[in-house]
Amino acid sequence: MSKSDCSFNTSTQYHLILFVAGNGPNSSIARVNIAGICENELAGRCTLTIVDVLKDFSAAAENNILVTPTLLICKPEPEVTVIGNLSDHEKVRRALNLEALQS
Amino acid sequence: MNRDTDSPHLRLQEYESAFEAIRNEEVDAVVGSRSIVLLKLHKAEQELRQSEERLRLAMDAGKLASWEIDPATGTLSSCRRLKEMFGVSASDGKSFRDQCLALILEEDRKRLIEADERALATGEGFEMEFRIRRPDKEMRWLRTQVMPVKDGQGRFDRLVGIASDITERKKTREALQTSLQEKELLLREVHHRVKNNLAIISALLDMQRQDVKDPVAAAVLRDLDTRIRSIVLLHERLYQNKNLAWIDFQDYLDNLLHDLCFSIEGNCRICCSANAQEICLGIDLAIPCGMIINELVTNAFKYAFPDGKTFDGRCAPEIRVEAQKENGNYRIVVADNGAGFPKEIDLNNSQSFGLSLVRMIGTHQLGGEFELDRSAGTRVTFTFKPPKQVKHLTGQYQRTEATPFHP
Repeated sequence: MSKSDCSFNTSTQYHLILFVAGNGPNSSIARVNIAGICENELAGRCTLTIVDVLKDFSAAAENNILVTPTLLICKPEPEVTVIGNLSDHEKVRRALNLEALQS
Repeated sequence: MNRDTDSPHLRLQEYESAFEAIRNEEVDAVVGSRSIVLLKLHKAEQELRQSEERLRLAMDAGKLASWEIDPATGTLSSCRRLKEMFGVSASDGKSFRDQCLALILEEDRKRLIEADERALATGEGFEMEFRIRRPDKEMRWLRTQVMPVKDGQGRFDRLVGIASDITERKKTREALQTSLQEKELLLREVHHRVKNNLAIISALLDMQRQDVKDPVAAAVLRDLDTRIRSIVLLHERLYQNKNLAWIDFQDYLDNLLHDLCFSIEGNCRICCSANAQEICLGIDLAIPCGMIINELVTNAFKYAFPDGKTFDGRCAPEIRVEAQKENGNYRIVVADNGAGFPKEIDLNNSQSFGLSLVRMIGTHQLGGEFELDRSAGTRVTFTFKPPKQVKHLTGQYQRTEATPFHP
């Protein structure tokens, strides 16, 4: 990616939704992982909503969520989903289009 | 928050990602159209894996190999270790079993196959040790523990077991056995030599006695000789015994009484009997008990029947010895139906050497008590509790210090 992309990325606003199932082991891991990303790479330019599908089933159904934990990146568009406990940082970074920052 | 997932391509991608996450155990719940399925499987599987890991480590620690035989197909499946034990590397279960069986020594193989068949028929497991000759020609001992397992219909259709290599243990056991046999032989030899040396002393005393003109001195020598012979007899019994630690007291008393009867009485007109069934004594107790009995019986032979008559003059002269064990206490009775102990003689203050010896051994060495009944002949009852550390018979009957044990 080019450097111009990089300047575009640093100003991008993110809106994320993490779907979890209570305090299941993978849901807990995903919470910790996404909190880390929001506080570091995305500090000051993201909003994060955590939806517990055990309490709010309709939100999961509306968004066609298949399994939990699932991270839904609503903004920037197009929407992207990351399924799993978000321990694969590279995968999450790719989905967030943050790769350019490293290169 | 509604999301556009109508694109079949995108939907397919999401399914694939979801499956991958499930496979990677990164998923807690599956969201259906109407409900959520929580994946408890994850935890159960983790526990199962932990349990398997624990079992594997334990098997490694015990150097155990696990295996399973399916008699229907004749296949043997096992862990890596069994292949290492046999030194074979077959890829399919059938040829692996054939290879293993071929390495087992013929007579052991026959036993093992029979035991396998019996286990499947009866449903009872078994343990067996067998020998194998590995492809590198090395002979090894293996031990296997086998359990038959039921199929869905409740029939025993498989054998599951573990195996371990016990070659080293066998070698150690054999070495131990050999060492034990050597020690036993040595101990037997020691008892034999002690007996022989004492027998020489006894013979010397006998020769001396025949040479002595003074009847009192001759009697003293004879008494001394019988005392020594009562100990000779013990060592003789010990080295002739299967068990070197214990003396069958009945057998010992039969021999002792026979000897005394022959040496003192000569023509054996006094009937002697011993009853000490199921009494076994270590040499520490057998020597003092034997000496006490020797003295009391010698006394009876000498003084109980002065004119060959019993106390009531009706029945035949008789000397009886009994030994019993009751509540951990030993009771030894020496009884005769003779004239009875003279009233002026007290067992506790007698000046006679023989009775002093009895008293010293009985009360000082064994810590027991004597009881004298003169109502019908003489009946001396000696009761004692076997001490944990028996004081050894020394020249002056002094208490010996227990030596500390250094392995």
